[in-house]
Amino acid sequence: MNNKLKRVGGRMAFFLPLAFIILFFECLPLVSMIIKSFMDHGSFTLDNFIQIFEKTIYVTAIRNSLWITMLSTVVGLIIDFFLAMALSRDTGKKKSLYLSLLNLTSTFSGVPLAIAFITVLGTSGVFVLISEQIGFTPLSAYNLYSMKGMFIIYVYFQIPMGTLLLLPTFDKVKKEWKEAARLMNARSIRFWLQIGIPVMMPGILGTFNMLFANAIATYATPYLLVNNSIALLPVKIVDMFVGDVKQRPGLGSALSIVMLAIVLIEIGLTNLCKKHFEKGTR
Amino acid sequence: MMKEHRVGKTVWKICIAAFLLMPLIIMFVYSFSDRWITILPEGFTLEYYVKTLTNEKFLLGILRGMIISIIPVVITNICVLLALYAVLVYLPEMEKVVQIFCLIPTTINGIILATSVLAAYSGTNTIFANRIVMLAMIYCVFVLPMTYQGIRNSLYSVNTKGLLEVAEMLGYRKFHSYVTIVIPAILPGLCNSALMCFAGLFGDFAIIKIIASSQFETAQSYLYRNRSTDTQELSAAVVILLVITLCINYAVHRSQHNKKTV
Repeated sequence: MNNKLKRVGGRMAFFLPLAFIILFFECLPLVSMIIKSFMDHGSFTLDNFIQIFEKTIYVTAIRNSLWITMLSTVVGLIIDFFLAMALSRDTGKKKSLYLSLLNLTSTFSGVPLAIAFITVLGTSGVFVLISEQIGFTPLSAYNLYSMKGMFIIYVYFQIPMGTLLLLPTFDKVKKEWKEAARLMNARSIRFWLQIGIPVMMPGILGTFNMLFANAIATYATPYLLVNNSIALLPVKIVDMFVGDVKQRPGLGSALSIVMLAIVLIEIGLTNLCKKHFEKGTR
Repeated sequence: MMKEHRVGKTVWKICIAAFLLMPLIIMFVYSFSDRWITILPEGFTLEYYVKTLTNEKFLLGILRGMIISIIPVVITNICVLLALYAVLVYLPEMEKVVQIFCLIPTTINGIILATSVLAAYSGTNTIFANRIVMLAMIYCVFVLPMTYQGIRNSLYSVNTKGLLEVAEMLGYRKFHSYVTIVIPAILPGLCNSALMCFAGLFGDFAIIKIIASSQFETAQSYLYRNRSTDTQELSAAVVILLVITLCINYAVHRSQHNKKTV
């Protein structure tokens, strides 16, 4: 009996290091953040959440974040889909070269990416200056320091990530199916709409989740470009904890919970879609 | 019909490649040119590279960034390898639990993670209140999903269970053969995910800004602090960081290729 207990204990020891990290740096902080968001000076309150949904600044931050996240995810996913489709049948050197480009640009993010775009499209960016010289107004008047201007950077980092995630799902669509569909006179578009995309749907939705989560948490880009002139959730949250103004961890925690809730709702919705496709009740 | 498609696909690939390469190429040219205020860049200079590469703060930033990225990746890999060993050999029913906890960080992004840890431990008189420890541990959690998936996929692709059973029949202890046979066998896959995690951490700015922006300046925070100085020097710095990531990518590619041909 004692021996058995020892053995079980020995087995559990393999989990200890991972459990330590997960408990102290994942679970406990999360729980304490949830508690903090409902606390004010030691007593239970909903004040933090009421403030978030009453003050325009926070409502705008949520709306802006949702807008840029949704749009960049959808646009990114469409671009990624066609790029992955074009790449899926490629082989050899050409493909591996393209994959290296995607791998490289997928790590090109954060401050360097924002700086690169400032150099290209900022107020005295290269493209802006060139356009001024040749009188090409759409580009010379480009305002990178706005929601619409920033959008291009969001799309930029969605492309490599999404394409790399989508590529494996194209393997699920067998070449034989396509040939069979062609033999039955189905056009390419019809094949993709009725067979290809439904088969790939779980993968597409998974990619959608990743892109969405990636975009909503983007911090460096808006922080460098617009900082506080346009309210966005991540910038507001960080401000509550380490900002120059008065720090308000309670409100910050509540804002974090709101962001978490947005991500969870989004995942829930895509899961519903996924179930629908997996059941095959189209 | 087919031909039309192929042309369309090629055009699409070229367009996207051009868009992805555009900022990289411009940064590259910009960092080498004297000035660029008209249509074409003027002059060629290495001045900005000399300046950046002799800038102690920037170099130290790179070094710090590398150290703080490597340590968590190593720690997380070891932890996950140990836990998944126990799952595979003794407690298959724990798999779901491990999976759930390892994948939670994909939902709670870096910002929520970092702010929650900061709020929980700052000001407490424990070792967790040390900003560097905090940063390293947050990074561990941050790379957990990718590490878990990388290791899990690799372990299943080599039929670990079968290998371990055979080794046991031959008289080796399971854990011993796990370390000496299975881990070397999955090393290419492991290195691949580890390097991806490393690159992700090396490029992080949000978490470091929240936790230790002033105490521990990495290359990213250096760039941020000097964002309004000479843009050409900044471009040179960005290009240098890109070359580093390029080297990492190349290393991943090479190691996988070598493994295949052996």
